[in-house]
Amino acid sequence: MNTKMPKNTSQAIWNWKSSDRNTKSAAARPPLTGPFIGLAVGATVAALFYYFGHFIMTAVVAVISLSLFSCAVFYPRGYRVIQVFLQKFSFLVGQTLTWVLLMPFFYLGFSFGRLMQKMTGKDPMTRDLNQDSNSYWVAHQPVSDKEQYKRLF
Amino acid sequence: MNILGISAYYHDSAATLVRDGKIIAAAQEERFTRKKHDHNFPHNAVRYCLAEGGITGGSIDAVAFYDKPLTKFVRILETYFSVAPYGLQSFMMAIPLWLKIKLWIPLQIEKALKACGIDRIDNIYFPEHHESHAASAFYPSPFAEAAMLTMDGVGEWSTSTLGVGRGNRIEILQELRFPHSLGLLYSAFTYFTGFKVNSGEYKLMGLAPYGKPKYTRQILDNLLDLKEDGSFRLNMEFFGYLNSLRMTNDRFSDLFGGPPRKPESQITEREMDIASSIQAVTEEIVLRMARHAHDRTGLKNLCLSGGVALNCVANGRLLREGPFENIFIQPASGDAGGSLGAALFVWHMLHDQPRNPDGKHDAMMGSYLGPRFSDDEIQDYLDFHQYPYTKLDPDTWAGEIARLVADEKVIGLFQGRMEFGPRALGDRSIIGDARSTKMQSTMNLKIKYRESFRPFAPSCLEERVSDFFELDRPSPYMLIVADVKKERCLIESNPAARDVPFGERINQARSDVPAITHVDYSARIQTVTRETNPKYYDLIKAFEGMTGYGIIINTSFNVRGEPIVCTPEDAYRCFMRTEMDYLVLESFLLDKKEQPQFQDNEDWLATYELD
Repeated sequence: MNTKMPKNTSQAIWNWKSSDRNTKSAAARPPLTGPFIGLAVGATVAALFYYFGHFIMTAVVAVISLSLFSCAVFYPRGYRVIQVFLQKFSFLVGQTLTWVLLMPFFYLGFSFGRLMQKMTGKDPMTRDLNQDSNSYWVAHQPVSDKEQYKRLF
Repeated sequence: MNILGISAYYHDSAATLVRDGKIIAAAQEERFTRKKHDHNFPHNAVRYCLAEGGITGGSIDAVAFYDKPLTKFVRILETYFSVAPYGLQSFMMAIPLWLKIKLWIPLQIEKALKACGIDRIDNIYFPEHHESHAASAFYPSPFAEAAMLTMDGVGEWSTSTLGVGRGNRIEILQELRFPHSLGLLYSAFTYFTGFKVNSGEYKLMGLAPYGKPKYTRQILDNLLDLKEDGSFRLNMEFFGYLNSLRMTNDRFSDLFGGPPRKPESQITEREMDIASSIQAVTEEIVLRMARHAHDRTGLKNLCLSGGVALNCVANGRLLREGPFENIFIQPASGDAGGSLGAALFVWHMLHDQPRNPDGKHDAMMGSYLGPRFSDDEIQDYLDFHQYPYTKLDPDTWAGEIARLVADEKVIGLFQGRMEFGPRALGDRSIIGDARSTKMQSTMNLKIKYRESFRPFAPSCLEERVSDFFELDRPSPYMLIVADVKKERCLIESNPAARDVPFGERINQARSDVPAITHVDYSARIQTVTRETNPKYYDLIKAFEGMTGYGIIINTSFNVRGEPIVCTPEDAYRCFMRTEMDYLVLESFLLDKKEQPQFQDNEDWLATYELD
C-alpha cells in the first residue's frame, strides 16, 4: 500500500477548474465513441446480411447506421433526441420483460409459499400478540466464528 | 492498518477511514452528489476518505460493509412469503434492484476501489447491521464499559438491540425483530402526518410540542402491545409496510379519524396532536428499554445509536429521568454512522485491538471528520469568478463576524472540516442572533424556505450552558433537548399565552433568547468548546463580549431538501439563492450587496425533493 499525505485532499472531490473546462468542451463537441460503436455494429450486421444474401436488409441496416452516425457528427442535437428516445424505449422493454418474468414467479412461488405457511401455522413475521408473556425481547444469537464476518450472511 | 467502512443501499450512504483505530475521515455521499439521503454506493465519499488518508494506490488492509446483505435479502423474501398474494408492487420494485446490484456488494466495492487506484483488498468483512450501530456508539465513547441500546427501522432482522460493551469487546444480548420496530412505528406516523419517511421524522418531533397527547391511549391500546421492559409487538393489522408501498392502511386512518395528511397541505390540530402522542409513546418506550438495559447490565453508562437515537427530545428525557448517569450518543446515529461502526468493529473486535477511553473525551473529534478547504483554494475560486470579498485578519476574524451577528445579520459560516452526521456544528452552519425576535421567521421563510413551525437550535459556550438551560453537562452534538431556564422565560407564567392559535404561537417571544426557544420552552442544545472548534468558540465568545450572551443560532447551511453544503462552490450557490446577508468562507467575508447578479441555471426550488 502506498501511503503518503496528499498535496491537496480537496482536489479529490472539488476540482472546479477542470469541471468548468469539461462542461465547456462537452457543450462544444459531444463524445463520438457511442456513434462509432453503433456504426461498427451496424457495419458488422450489414456484412452478415450481405454474406447470407439478404441484400434488402443489408441496405436497410447500412442506411440506418450511416444516418445515425452522420446525425451524431453533423447534427448532434437531433442525435441526442434519438438517443433519449432509444434510452426510454429500452427502459420500457426492460420494465415489461421484468414484469413478464417476475409477476408469474411472485404469484406462483410466493403465494404457494404463503399457503404452505398457513397450512403449517408458521408466521415468520410473528404477527400474533402474546398478552401472557412478560417480554418480547429475544436472545441474540452470537456469531461464534470470526470467519462468519467474511460472509454476506 | 487502514480499514475502510462503507454503508450503502438503504439511505444515507457513507464511508469512513479508520487507521490503527483512529478515525481519519468520514463523510456522507449526499454531500458530494447533492442528493439528500443518497443511497447509492458512496463512490465520492470513498474517494475523499482515501485521499484524506493519503492512500493513493496499492492495497487496503480491510473493508467493512455495515450489514449482511444476504441475511437482509432472506428477510425480504420471507416477508413476501408471508404476505403473498399481496405485495406485488413492492416486490417488483425491490427484487430487480437486489438481483442487479445489492447481492453483488463485494464486486461493487472492488470496482469502486479500483477506480481510486486500489487494486487489492485484503479482506472484506460484513458485521451485522446492529453490531455496526452498537460499535459506532461504544467504541468512540469515553466509557470503558457501558450498556448499549440500538434502535432503528430495521437491519437484517433486528430492529432494536440491547448489549454490553467492555474494553474492546461488544456483545449483543437481546433483540426485537422485524416487523416490530420503533423506527418504523415513528416513520408510520411521519408518513401519516404528511412528511417524508426516513427524512421528515425530525419534523414530526418538532411539531409535537404544538399539540396535546390526545391519542396516546389509542396508540397504546390498538397499535402495539408494550411490555414493562420496553419490548413490544406492533399490531400489523394497522400497518401497510409489509404488503404495500404505504406505511399505514385504512384501519389506521379510521383510528385517527381520516386519511393521511397530504404532503405540503395545511397542518391541522389533528396532526399536532398525533405528533405529540407518538412522541410521548416513543419516549415511554425508550425510557422502558433503558431501564431494562440498566437492570440487565447494572452499568452506569449508556451508549445510544440507530436512527431513533436522533430523537433528541427522547434523549433529553432519558438523561433527566432515566437510570443512567452518563449517556453517549453517536452523532451520526443513522445508517451513515454504520460505516464508522463497521470499521471500528473490525479493528477492535476482529483484530482484538485495545481501546484507551479516558472517561471524559470521546473519539469523534467533534464529528468534524469531512473535507476542509484552504484559503488558497478559496481565494483562487473567488478570484477566478471575480466574486468580491474582504480577507479578514485571523486576529479580528471572530470579532468581525460576531459584530455582524449582533447587528441581526444572517451569516453563512463555512470553515474547517465538514461535519459527519445530520447536524451542522459550526463548520457548515447558518448563524444568527438568538436574542432577535424576528430571526426564527426570517430564517425559516427567507433563508431555509421551510415550514414556519420549525425551531432553531442554539450553539452555546460550554461553560455557559447552565446559565441558559436546565442542563448541567455538555451536549456537543446537538442531540439533547433541555428546557430554557425558567428565569429567562417571558410568558411561562401566563397560561393564556399557550392557547393562542398555531400561527401566532410560532411568533411569540417566549424568552430572552426567543429565536432558539421552542414553543414548549425547550431547545436542542449544542455546547461549544475551544478544544474541538477554536474558531467557532472564539466567534461566540466575541459575541458574548459584545452582548453578554454566549449563545447564537446555529442551523445547517442548506435550504429545505438540500444536503448540507460541502464545498465553497456549494456554499456560494446557497448564499446567492437565499436572503443571507454575508458569507464567510474560511478567512474571506462576502457581502451579498457587493456580489454580481447570480446566473442560476437550474430551477433549484424544484430540484430538491421536499422532505
